[in-house]
Amino acid sequence: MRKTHIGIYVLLFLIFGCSVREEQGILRLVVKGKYADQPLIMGAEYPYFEGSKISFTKSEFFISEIAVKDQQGNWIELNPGNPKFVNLQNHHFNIENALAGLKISIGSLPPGDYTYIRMGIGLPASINNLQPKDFPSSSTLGQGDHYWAGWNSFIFSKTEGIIKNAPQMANFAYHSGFNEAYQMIEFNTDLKIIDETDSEIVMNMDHQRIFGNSTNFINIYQDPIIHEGGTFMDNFMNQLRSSIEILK
Amino acid sequence: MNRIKVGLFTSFGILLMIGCNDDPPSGDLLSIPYDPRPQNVIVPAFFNPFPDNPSNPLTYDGVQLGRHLFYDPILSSDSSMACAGCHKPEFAFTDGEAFSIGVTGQLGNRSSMSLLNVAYFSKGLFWDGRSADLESQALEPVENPIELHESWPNVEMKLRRHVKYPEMFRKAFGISGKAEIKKELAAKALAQFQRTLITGGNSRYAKQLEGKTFFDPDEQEGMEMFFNSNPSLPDAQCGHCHAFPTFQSSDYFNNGLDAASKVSDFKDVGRGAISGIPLDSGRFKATSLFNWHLTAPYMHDGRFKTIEEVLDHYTQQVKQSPNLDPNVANLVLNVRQKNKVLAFLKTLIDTSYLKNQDFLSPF
Repeated sequence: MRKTHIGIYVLLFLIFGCSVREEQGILRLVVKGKYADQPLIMGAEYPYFEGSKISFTKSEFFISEIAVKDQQGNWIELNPGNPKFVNLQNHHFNIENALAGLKISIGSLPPGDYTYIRMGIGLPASINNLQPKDFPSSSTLGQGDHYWAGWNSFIFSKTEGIIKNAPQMANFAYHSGFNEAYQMIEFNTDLKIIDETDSEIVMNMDHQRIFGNSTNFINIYQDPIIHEGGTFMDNFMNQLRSSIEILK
Repeated sequence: MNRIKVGLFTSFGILLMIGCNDDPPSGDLLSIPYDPRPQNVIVPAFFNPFPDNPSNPLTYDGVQLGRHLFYDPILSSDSSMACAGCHKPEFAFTDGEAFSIGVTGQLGNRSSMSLLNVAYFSKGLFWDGRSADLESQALEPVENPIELHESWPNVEMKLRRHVKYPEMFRKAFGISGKAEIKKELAAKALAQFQRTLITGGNSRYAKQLEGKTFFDPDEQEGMEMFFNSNPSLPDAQCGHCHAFPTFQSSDYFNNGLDAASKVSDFKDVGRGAISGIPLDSGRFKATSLFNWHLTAPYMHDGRFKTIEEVLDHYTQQVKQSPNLDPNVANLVLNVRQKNKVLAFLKTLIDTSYLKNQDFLSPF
């Protein structure tokens, strides 16, 4: 009888006792839209390079293939195959939100120190070659307004707004897409993940930098819309990439 | 003596409270078989998978109950008007009016929206998205004083006393007694029916995608302008709001109907009243263009009587405001080009749904 009991305990221990919880910590990305050194508030006016006033009505983009490098030099991708959608216009509509930043849960990681983070701006070809019909309509990728049938591409980013310098005025819409526009960025970081703890990493996006710099900037009045792939879109995506920094 | 009086009074009170409760006994429907069968919905091959609601999966009996409720004036205060009063199949489930008239003769303040492909709206229903899903949307018109002007407790009572509905609720949701007939189940049934209202698969556009037909040059150029895919043609930019594949959007847009120097100036703030986001003021949902020819007059306030007026608006009359959608701000199309866009729009016509008895009144 006693032996039977011991046998049952051993069996129960084997079944339940050996399932050890995997240690994990959550990583969140805090996206802060900026215009030069000011927090970005949708609808607020900022000085453009040549003296015009610029305001934004939309700023959104996909980030994909987010990965961190551990101290052994291994890249660990978070949530493979699941791009994140950053929508600043529904968040950065007041100063409090703009200062706090938009928090996006990226995924979980084993505890430890990580030295680099990388991510793609846009969507990798493996996803971009699909169509909305390949996703549920409730998902971001399943919604037609993030896909441009004329390009056979998802829209990687949308930056929209108004620029004016009386009597001049233009409504601008810079959308990007195509596999060639996908941009990978990589930053050195001091990321520490602790078990059962949320960790945050701050991403700044300078909306002035998207348009160039004081000596070389987009003439929005002349080109208020990106019509197609090519040099203009390539330059825009390069500038979009350089507008992003990850704080250590 | 006083004790007897108190006792009689108390008994009378209890009788009043309990004796007048006409709730039917629970379990009174258990003799009716409950055998739910899933209802399959065929969607066009280029659409997303059918957007079922896991908490309200389609069943044959659920859809049939919803269809009966949709066409039955029992939901209105004077039994004169059904949901179908403002959502008529022959008008692509709109009513052909700028503003709908409710049971009391009052005019509504926005145009009746088409329900075709309504299942694919994922960020709210109504022009301003104030209802999160079809289940919550279906609750609103019944108690709206300028629509059906009824109360849900009354509707529930009428449905419980009805000769057929208790059985239909039993078959749809497996309730055991009439007392379980509640507004939430009625709304679920209405939502199930409305989710089945899919159209587009028999349009020329669909056939062209399937390689079963070819566009003529006008239709082809019209499509290229619609989606800005031909650099030698002007951009019509339509596809941003009326997006592939359903030619609608779950998002909200200011398409330049009214001028405003600041966003608080809009007379009807639309989405802004719901989201609380200032730049959402004056933004409204973009409806599907499938069967647009049946949905006039156009816009949330029905201000345009014809599709030609709509095209003229986008090419000549867009009004400036701080949150104007930039895609409609700079459109330049001549008459021939507008006619080509119109030729493409005609490929989105698919009236085959009007022959589908499951979409039409069961009465």
